Amino acid sequence: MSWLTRIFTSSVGKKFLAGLTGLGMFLFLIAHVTGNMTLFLKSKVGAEPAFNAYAKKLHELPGFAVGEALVLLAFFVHIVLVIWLSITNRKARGEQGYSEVRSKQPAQSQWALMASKSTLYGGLIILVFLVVHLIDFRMVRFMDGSLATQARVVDALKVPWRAFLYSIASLLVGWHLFHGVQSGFRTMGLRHPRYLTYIQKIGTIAAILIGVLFASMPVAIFIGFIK
Amino acid sequence: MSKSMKLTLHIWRQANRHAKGKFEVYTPSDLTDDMSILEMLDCLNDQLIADGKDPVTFEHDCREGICGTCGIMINGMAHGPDRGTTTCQLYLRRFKDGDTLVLEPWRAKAFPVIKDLLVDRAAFDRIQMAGGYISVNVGNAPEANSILIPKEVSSEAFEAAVCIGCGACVAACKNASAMLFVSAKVGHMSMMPQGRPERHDRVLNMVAQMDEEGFGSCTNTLECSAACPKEISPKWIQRLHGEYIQAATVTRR
Repeated sequence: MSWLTRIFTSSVGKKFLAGLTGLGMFLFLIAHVTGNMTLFLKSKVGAEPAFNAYAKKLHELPGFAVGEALVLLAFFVHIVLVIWLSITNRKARGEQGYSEVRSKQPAQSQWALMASKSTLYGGLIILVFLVVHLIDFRMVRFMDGSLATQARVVDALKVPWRAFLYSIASLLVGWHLFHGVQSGFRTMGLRHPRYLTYIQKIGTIAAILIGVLFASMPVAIFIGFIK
Repeated sequence: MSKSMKLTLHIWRQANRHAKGKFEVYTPSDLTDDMSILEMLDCLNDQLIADGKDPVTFEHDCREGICGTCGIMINGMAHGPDRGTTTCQLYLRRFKDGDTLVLEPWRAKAFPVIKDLLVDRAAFDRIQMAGGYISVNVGNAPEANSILIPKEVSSEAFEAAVCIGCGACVAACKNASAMLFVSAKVGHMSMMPQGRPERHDRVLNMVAQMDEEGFGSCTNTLECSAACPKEISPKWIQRLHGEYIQAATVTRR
């Protein structure tokens, strides 16, 4: 068996790749949320809002297309592997379930436990949201090459159902990361208790920050703070 | 002085591997608070036999918490509500007079029920046979100090070596994953010089066997470690990943 087949077909290998691609997308989300924060800037670059200037510069970066393709690839691999693993896990549990299941973890771990048990379902909802999101802001570039401008973002997110969907999905991304980030680092084989404390803290803070900052944009647009 | 107790027991009864099982309710007499869960089942079985009924089958051996045979689910928790405890070391004084106890076998596709509370854990044996050993020449015991091992290393390896293979990690995991068991077996040997020669083959073969047996994979929910009667840390699973990826990428085979 070649070493690549082994990694792609074994449980540990699949889990490793799912974690690696997940952490890759975590880095992408940090860049994405940081860049989009320019929506809150009142200052203009020439005649254009800061957000438009940022978008233009970003897309002119050398290797931008490669980066975009990598994110797409990571995304695809993450979803396919996770669904594959989840089906195997479901089968492994067997047909006859327990009449009751109770956790033996201490009370302070119950939030983390809830997050870890709902990561898959949260992820599936985020997937549906992403289809809407890409149709909203990526489709046009695909059709005529034009970028999403601040005006277009504001127009789209003023619509109540979109504002609602985008805020909820943002918080769900945060919830997904709450388990995902520390789980991803664990899966990379990082094991020393010395680092693990930091990873748990960084994971929690990053999850809250990313979730809240993403959600702040549709909320700010909906209440008219960003025009 | 021991106190007498009344408990209502809901026990999973299943005639064989293929039969459909169901819960039966029992209210055995003569229970006292100093009985262990296994002694409670002995007591119930005496009464069932006296009544000409089929006694409840359950697995047990040492009854002192070191053999790993006696695991059952008690009220939805592997080995009952206490941490770091096997079923045989759980006593009725932990419960209140009049309580209801639900006793179920480990449930996982790789652990089929043989009868009642007894499951077939041969999958663990096959994983061990795939690599959970070191090869040494027969003959006199080697000189103990010919290979020096720092105390911290041997102590840490021992944290994983205490795994008794009871299967509580699989039973408690929502994915029926055996990764805590496999990581403990791979982990302690990977730390010791005696385990080094077969290090890469061991982890690759044991994980392959684990997958073949139909266990799930870890999603870092950490229920396994909380259920483990030997309180083995989930850090060993993290170590297993490191060992596996290293072996898979550098192995010459």
